[in-house]
Amino acid sequence: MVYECKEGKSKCICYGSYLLHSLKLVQLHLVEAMPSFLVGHQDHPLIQATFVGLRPAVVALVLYGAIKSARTTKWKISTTSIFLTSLLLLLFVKIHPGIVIFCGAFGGVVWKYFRNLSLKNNSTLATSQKKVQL
Amino acid sequence: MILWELFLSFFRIGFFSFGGGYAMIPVIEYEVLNHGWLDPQQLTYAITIAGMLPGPIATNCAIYVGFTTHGILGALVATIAISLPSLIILLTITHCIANFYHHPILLTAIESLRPIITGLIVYAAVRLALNNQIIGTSDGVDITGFMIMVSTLIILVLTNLNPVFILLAAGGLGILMYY
Repeated sequence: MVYECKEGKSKCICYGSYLLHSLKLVQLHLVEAMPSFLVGHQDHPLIQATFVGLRPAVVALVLYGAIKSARTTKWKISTTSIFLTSLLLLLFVKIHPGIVIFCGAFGGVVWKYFRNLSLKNNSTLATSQKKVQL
Repeated sequence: MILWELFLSFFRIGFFSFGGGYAMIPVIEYEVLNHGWLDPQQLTYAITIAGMLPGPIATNCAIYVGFTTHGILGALVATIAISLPSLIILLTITHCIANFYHHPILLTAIESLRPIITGLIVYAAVRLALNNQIIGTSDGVDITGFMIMVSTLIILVLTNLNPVFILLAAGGLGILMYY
């Protein structure tokens, strides 16, 4: 890819793209070498034994990723219910994860809108009650 | 035809790359298994290798799947396809919607995405564990695998050790126990 670098913000994006593509090339060489090696040697007992040990470690790494992600979330009733609903949908309904992502974000916005609306109604009601008492 | 399908699938995956890394595994799994490019066992291999190598796990997975499906050209197509959406989204955000960064609707949507990302990663872990009989299935459970998983998780949580060392140790343990 050829980029013409300009000044300012575009310059940053341009150099970022250069860097990204050069790194991707190195990565491509490394990862393409692995499957070609594995296809030739996948039945070798040493490779199989290594993967028997590696598989549970990878599951633990993914779980650790979930723990780290959970730490960055503010856990409230709304977020907990979004988490549980998305997890149950993914586990028991064969649904594209992208739909879960989209519906979750949209559902969160709708939830917040109705919550704000009910809070606004309650405050209006309280103000009118005060006026009547006065 | 396969190249076009590879491109479309990884382009879709790239568009749902919220949370990155492990949060993308369910999307990759859905696309790859539905197309029959890899079986669950091969997908576990792909994720293991992708996790061990430098670079984002999702891009590494894309390269692996692309290569096993259609050689070097497949790897190139999958890599470009998975990288394109983030480039498009980032450029759009930089040039068009930077003024809406603090808009309440955008902030609420982002806040709602966080628990979904956690859910996606938990789901990825559960599916991987089920596919490899590390947790309960009708075929029986690999107790040793379960013990390795629990001990690895405890080490990760308590020591914050570099995952590469953990993977190397787990591979070594596998050789010692099963070779």
